[in-house]
Amino acid sequence: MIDVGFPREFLDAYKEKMVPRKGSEKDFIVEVESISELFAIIDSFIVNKVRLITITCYPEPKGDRLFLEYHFTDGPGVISLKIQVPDDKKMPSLTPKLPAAGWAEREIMDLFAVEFEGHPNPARLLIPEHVQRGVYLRS
Amino acid sequence: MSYKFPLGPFHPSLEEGEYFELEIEGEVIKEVKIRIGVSHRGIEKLATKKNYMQNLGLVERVCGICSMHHTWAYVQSVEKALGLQVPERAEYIRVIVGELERLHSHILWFGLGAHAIGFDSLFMFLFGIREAVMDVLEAISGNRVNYAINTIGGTRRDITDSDMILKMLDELEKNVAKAVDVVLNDKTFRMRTEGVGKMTPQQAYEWGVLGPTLRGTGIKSDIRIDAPYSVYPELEFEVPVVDDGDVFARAVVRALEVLESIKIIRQALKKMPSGPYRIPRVPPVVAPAETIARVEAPRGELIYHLISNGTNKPHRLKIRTPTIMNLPALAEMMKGASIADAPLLVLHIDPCMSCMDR
Repeated sequence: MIDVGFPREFLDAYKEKMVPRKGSEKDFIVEVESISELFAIIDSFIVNKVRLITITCYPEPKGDRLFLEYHFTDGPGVISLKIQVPDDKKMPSLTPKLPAAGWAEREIMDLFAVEFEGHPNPARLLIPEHVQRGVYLRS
Repeated sequence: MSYKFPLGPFHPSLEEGEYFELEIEGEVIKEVKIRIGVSHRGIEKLATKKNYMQNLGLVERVCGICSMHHTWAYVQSVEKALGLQVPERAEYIRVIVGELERLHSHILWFGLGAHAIGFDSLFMFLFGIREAVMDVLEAISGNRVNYAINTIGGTRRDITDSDMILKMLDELEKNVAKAVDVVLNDKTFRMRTEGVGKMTPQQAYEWGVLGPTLRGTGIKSDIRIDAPYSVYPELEFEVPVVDDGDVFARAVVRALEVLESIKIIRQALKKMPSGPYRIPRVPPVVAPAETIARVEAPRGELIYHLISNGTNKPHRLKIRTPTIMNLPALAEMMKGASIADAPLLVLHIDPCMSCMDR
């Protein structure tokens, strides 16, 4: 049996930054500033066997910036790590560390044209070869 | 010398279209490449062009088998954003219809699994007993597949005839017991399923495997228990877990889950309070909020992530279905298996391809 839980150090360090989600007691959004900070948190999650649910990509309601939310769960609660996608739309891939992110990242590459550098298999997943990436960005 | 074997997108043993490229040496599968997107419909984008009520009909059609769980997760995410308190009777109706859906989904899976190993008499028997569940669902909701039972703030229909459901459950329990007996004791069934599609708990974690596929590797994970929603905390039921991590273990998990679902429906019918089953008026506009809703669909955890922007349409609706996590893990399970087991292995995670493509 594997013991699963969000790392205590993380919960202590990010106490102030955890914004509760509307309507759920155990679900929080944590906004992180930099990619290195994001990956440091994810590393500690992987050690504690916190499961990756998925990655959501969305444009901000007013404006062009893209955001990513990495949703992790220990069972009862969900912590979503929110980060802004850099202007060059390049993010390091999580897949080499956690295979569960593989298809989620490929989907975002297809639908939002964010490039995940270091992805072991960056081929198209949902859209055909001749269609330009970023289909959800067009209206 | 290895050669390539294309399985799909349209293959007699696959129920839905998806392309599997198997690299084979002799009879052993060495590498599996999966190409999805055959039925990609852009539902997440389409959801941002329709209002919240119209989206009910849209998300219902993400999947044909777990259609009720899709609307359930969707209405939960909208109700959270609106801060609505749903009448208790509606929650019980949702649980009853949700569990009926799990019943028919698991029995369907069993039938297809039996068909894949060439056990067609079991397949016929199971599809026969499944019809009783479908008839009850039709009597409750008026529909066999897309029940349209959920609406924002309650359910669209009431359950008035609980005797009909109880009668069906009694009959079904007897029939399922026969099928469980076959699963546990039939030599052919065990020979085809034991030791096939092995997966360790560590692999299951890394690939994010969900639902009965995960519980068949010995990890107890069920959203109904872990993060209870609706009235599940009021109901008593077990979550079956089997340690072996092969196709047989997952078949046993599903067989036991069918019996647990019958138990849940009986309790829910007994405890269901009288009263209204929907909120008469629901505001059409949702203030800016970010909500998530998780439900345990027949295939595992289903999550809806809703971002509203103060209009009558969602800004973003992200749908993560269980199959999109289970299918890449399947590619790992298939490595080293025999080509003859390939259709069974694909079917054994209960893949819902159009669910996954959205």
